[in-house]
Amino acid sequence: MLPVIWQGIVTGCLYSLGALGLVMIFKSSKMVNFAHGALAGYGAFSVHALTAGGAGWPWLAAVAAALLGAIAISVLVYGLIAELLQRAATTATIATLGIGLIAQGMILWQYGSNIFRLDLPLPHLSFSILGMALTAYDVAVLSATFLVVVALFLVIERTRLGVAFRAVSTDPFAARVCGLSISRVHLFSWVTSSMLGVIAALLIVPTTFLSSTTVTTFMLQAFAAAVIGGFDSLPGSAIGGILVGVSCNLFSFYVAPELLNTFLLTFMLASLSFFPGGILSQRLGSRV
Amino acid sequence: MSDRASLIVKNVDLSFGGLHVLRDVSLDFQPGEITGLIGPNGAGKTSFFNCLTGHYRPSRGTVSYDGEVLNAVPTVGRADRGIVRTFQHAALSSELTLLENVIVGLNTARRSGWIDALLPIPRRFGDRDEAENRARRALEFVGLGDHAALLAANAAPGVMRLVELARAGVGDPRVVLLDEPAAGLNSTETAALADTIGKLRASGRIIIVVEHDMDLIMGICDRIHVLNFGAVVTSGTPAEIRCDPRVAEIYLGTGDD
Amino acid sequence: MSEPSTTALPADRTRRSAVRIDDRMLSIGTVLLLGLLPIWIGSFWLYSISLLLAQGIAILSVSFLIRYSGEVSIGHNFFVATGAYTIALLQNGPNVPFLGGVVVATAVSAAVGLLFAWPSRTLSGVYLSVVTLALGLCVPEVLLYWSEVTGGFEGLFVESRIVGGVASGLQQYYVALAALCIATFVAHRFRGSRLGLMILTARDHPHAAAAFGMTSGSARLSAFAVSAAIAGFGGSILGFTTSMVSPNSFIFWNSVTLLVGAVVSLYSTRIYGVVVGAAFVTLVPQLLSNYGQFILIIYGLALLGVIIVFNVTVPAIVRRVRRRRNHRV
Ligand SMILES: Nc1ncnc2c1ncn2[C@@H]1O[C@H](COP(=O)(O)OP(=O)(O)OP(=O)(O)O)[C@@H](O)[C@H]1O
Ligand SMILES: [Mg+2]
Repeated sequence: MLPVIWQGIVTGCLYSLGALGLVMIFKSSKMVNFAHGALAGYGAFSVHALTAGGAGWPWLAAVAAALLGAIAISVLVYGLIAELLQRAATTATIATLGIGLIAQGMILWQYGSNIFRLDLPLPHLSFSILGMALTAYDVAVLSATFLVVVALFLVIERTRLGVAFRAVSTDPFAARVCGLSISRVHLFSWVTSSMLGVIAALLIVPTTFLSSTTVTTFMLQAFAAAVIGGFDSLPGSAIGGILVGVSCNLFSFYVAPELLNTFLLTFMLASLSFFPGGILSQRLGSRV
Repeated sequence: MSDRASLIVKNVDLSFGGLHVLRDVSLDFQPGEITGLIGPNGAGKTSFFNCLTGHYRPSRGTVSYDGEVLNAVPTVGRADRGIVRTFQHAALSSELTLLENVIVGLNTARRSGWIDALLPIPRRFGDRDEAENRARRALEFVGLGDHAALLAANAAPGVMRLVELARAGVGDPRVVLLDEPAAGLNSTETAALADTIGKLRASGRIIIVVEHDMDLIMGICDRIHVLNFGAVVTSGTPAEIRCDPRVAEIYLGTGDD
Repeated sequence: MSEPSTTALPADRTRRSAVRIDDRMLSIGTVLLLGLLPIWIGSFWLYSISLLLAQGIAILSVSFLIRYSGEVSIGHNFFVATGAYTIALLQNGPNVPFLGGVVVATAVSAAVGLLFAWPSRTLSGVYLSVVTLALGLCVPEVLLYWSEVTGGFEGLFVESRIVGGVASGLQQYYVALAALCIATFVAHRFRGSRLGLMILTARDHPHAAAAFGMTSGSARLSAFAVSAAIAGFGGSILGFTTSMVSPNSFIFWNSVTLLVGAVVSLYSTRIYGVVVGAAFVTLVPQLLSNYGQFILIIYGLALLGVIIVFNVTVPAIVRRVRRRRNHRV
């Protein structure tokens, strides 16, 4: 049982990274970005194309290029839907579904429906602690997650943009009165989110393979993590990711792997019933 | 419900985090009267209304109407008891016509339910026709009889104010709370509004008006309460309030109005 | 009281009622045209259009949800499947007649919708949308896991004749058409009902709806239940027109299709609007059957394009025209 839980924690970290990206966007723009998975998948494919396909770039350079590309795309996407955000979050949400479909279609168009391997450039190490195998991959995931979370925390707590982000996420109206530029804050969250997405995608792909649907499928768990942790809580969604990772692993191992989506659905509905608004939420009344 | 039911507010406190919005407010409102509630911006007038309708829960104190303590009654239940309001920021559905928005005010009085909503019951057996007629009269009452079919999305702010008033008044309410009904109206329209509010007065009905327009308040109210920083500063007839130095001080002191 | 000078437009009752008549005539025209269509078309198109009409009901259910609750669902294939499998199981087991099956399928779907929306009734619509994602994905899983009941991959057979002596293709067509007429009639008439007005008010201003007697929670539950009921009704008709139900017809992709159809129809609850949306999502895959990636891209562009044109471009033009008109006066 312990190894199953341990593996769940490792994958859970990736769900947390995915969920953090979704929550960043929700906190600033009050909408869900349904294109998150497809765009992150696009990033993973770019890395593959740059390293394996004829280009033969070094891995780090390819990742840097993919991150830059993700930033550019997120700016473009935000530019497309910025005006929708001022009307209704629903229309912006539907627009992101459209963007997700386009990204998915572009992946299929450029790379076909083949499957590829995309590993991290890691040594084949594995050692065991307390009877659990610990591979270089596990270490990479845990340390990457740790670094990303710390960096995110520092940016949000210490920089001016981070302060603005917190102000906008607690009270957009008050923030506007204080003269903060809402669109800069939005852009900050969209850009950060897209980078988190690409990092999560690169880390998840080695566990399976890269196909046009790998990353979008993976993101369902990230969505579940955000629902369980609360869409307006960064720490909540991080914890939610771990919870989802562990419970999915246990469920697949002991019950029925073919019912995973059904399990996630039940888990989300149960969590919403007992912890409406997420496990860490404190409910506040809205203004009349 | 007796016809002489009064609305009694006792020792109400309301705070958001460290911000005290209402402090120990005790007021009572008599049927048949129009009461004014004035005070500078941020004094807590709208919050006071929200406590009466149940949108906000006071942290201390009670609100009771007709001998019944309402603290545990949710907003919807208070609507059933005939407490209605208008909103400072017009809250009409933009997809509905003015007439349909007014029909919303009849919600608690109508009996039609799911059967009427889903099955082709003739309009007159459901109560659509009757509701429409009453709503039309209410629109005429506020002077918008010709604009029944206008979509709320296309209506000017001043028109929305009047529709809010019609929506509040259409269902023969017991308690009517008007939050800045004259905002966005010019002086002739405000004069007409004063008339309309005066006609809304009925023997068993409590009317409370929050307004920054002093002429309107002085013209229509029987009593006026002055709120500042969440506390009742003074109360009296319009004549008394007009001469009260504390009122002038509040308004001049804050440079408002 | 004098006429307020603040009125934006002169009394436009006449203009609006003219528009109303046009709407109704368009609807009646569409129904007449569809009713006469079998005279001219062959059996392939008859079948395709029967499917289109049944699909239209499912699209209507998504439009209804977006319109009345302001929320998006990408899991409505679940309710369509609920309706379809309910009628199939009722026919295969206790041998319930068609009409009874449709009624039960609709009711069951409504109940399931209510149950599903219950936990998120007081939360921001985001939660509901995201959970519908999982709802949409779990349909084939569930159907395949309990294959003794659902017939597994092969699915279940549905009787495609109600009366003897008439070709089943024609029966399927006219039943689908009648069902779509009923669904659009109900959905459109709902708007003027007491509940319809309250739900729309709750969507725009939850506080106002509460002040007049309906909480936003119950408004959203009601909208979701009605939407699920329409979807289940559509599902039962879809089962009838395809004469079978199988997991393949209810995969997640179907929900995406329904959403695209709903957006292309501009969330219309009128029959002509619904037919346009359904025709789009029927024709595009048929024309591009060998180019799956382009279907994705076209659907994506349709969502994005329609949303942006109708929420950004059109309002901007309207503003400009208004400003110009004001200048001239
Ligand atoms: N939901 C809320 N959360 C936090 N603070 C609130 C909330 N509602 C009201 N307040 C605060 O309570 C105070 C009183 O607000 P309120 O709207 O009642 O004032 P008002 O007298 O109606 O002012 P105005 O004349 O501007 O309408 C303000 O400082 C406001 O910021
Ligand atoms: Mg106010």
